Amino acid sequence: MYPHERSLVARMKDKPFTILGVNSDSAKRYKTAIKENEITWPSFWDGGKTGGPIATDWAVRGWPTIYILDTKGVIRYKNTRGKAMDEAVDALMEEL
Amino acid sequence: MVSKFIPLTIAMMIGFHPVASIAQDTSGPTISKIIETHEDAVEVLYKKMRGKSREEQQKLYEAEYPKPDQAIESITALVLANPGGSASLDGIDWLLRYSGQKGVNPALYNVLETHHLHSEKLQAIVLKMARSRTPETQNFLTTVSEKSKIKDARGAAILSLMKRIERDKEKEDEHTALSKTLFAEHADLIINGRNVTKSIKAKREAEEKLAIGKVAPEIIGKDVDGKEMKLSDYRGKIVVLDFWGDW
Repeated sequence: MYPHERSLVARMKDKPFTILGVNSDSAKRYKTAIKENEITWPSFWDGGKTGGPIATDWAVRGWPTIYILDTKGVIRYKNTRGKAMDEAVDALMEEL
Repeated sequence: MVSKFIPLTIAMMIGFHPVASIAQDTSGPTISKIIETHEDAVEVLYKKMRGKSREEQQKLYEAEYPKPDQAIESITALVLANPGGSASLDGIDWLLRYSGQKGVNPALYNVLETHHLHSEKLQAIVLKMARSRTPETQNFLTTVSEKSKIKDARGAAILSLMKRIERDKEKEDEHTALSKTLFAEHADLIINGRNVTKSIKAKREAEEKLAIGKVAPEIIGKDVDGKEMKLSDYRGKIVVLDFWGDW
């Protein structure tokens, strides 16, 4: 997960793109994780548990769950990972 | 010498094969006895499996699980011989637990329709039919949903009809029509103390809000240091919204 996300972030540097996390770890664990895995993108912190308020609002039942939104905030893809995630982001970038 | 043993043998045969006594209305105690014997045997196996490794449990299960075939056959025969009897519904209820996708003997649906369509116990029965894929099940559930005088059974029948086609993309329209009826006529369908209609509705609404093509609902939250952040702050950027955890 992390290496792929890091390379996507690197490739999209200087482009209108961000990964935005919603993290369900304890605060301590989250802070360790971002340090150890060089996570540079922002995350909401969802209260330290999987049943946090944001995950509940978004009916998340499995982790990770991924939504890809376009620049207008419209949901365009769900649970696309790996290569498919790269292709989805590229396709949205081409619309700009 | 030999002749002395014959009556004993016959008595044993009757004792071990309850089907032999279906002529009288003894189906009640006999059905419950067969169920009890089977469930006891299962319980004995589960006790043996407790505390064992997964592999050992698997082995034990494969070697010793009491096959329900004989009990299924006997109970089916007893129910058919005395369809209106008090134990008939309990027998069918048990048979449904062991029936899976193939459903129970088709004749049993006639028994249910003719003798038990307005029984208070029908809700539990129709709920167990969600897994069965046979046309007999489909027809019976439809009949219950339209004709049973028991409201909870009608609602549960709709629920089972919905569950059977939940993942079938081709039957989406049918599913929508059923859910409309459920929401309109069974808004307070309680199963195991839970209002199922309400939770199905809530889930549906959440799914609709989060469908592809919809504007993502706003998120207002904080980062781990307590600094406020909003999803809408990122308008103008392509956002990979990633619900994650480091585990």
